[in-house]
Amino acid sequence: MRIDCCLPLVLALLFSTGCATIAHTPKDYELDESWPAVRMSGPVTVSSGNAAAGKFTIDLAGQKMTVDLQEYTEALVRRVRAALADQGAMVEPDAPTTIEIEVVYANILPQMQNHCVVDFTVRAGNGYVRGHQARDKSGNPQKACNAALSRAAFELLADEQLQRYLAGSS
Amino acid sequence: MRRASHLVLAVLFVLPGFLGCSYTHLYGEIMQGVDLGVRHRIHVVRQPKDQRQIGSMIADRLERAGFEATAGIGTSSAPDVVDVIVSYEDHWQWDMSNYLIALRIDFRNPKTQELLASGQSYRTSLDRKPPEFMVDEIITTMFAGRDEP
Repeated sequence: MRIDCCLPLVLALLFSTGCATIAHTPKDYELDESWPAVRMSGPVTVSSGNAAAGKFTIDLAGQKMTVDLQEYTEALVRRVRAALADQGAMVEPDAPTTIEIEVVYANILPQMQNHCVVDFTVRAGNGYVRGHQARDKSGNPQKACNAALSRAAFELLADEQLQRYLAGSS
Repeated sequence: MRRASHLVLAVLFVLPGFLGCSYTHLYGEIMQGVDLGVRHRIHVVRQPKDQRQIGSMIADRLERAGFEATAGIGTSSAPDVVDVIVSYEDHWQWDMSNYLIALRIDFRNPKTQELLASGQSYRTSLDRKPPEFMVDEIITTMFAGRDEP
């Protein structure tokens, strides 16, 4: 076996795995659970709230993953809109019932599996404000955060006070 | 020559394993627009299974930072009026002895549960530190560049 032929390859591999920065673009992730049933009183606007949010780098034992909180917010908004539309809700741009969503923080605890934690705030048109945290885990950090974002949409729609607002009873 | 090349390859493959044993990731941030300086009364919600008193360590560190800090199990143990609720999660691992591999501390608005600040420390076996140290480095990092009250 000749070392001189494979040494550059091995070294390149070590450096590339140790120093790589992944830019994570959120992708759809299907959860196993069925979505919380939401009763609607009429059309709803679901919008994103953090135009000023910047990029955020998560350090994963030598590897880095860059996330854009605005992209995370947009992805969460899309998932909530889709989940509501699947239940027959009319999701419109200027409805009297409004939900504003803002992902404020995301991070990973790089353990045996990557635990992705996504913190977000929901503001409803009736003045209701609530912070939530959603999390999921996977060996792949990108997959963990895709799953955490889907779980965030799930938890948002499972919020009973928000459900009452959407149903027109608060 | 062949033996030497095997040795070099073995070192190259084993070395990253050792490097992986020594790794620290420290992060702390106060959310944009949040002024913790005006929120003096903090309650640390101790986890029921926390036998190592990490909740009390966090409260002590916050006291030293100038806050009025209490610690107790559950939010019902909080004083009547608090400005911030602090929660934490600790992860332990075994490597010759039990050590704290990861600690995450979150500050939340007690009324809305909005995240006000968050910090975490992750230390692999060769970088292990006592819980008091990790609590201190997280709170210090959180307030880095800002005046503690």
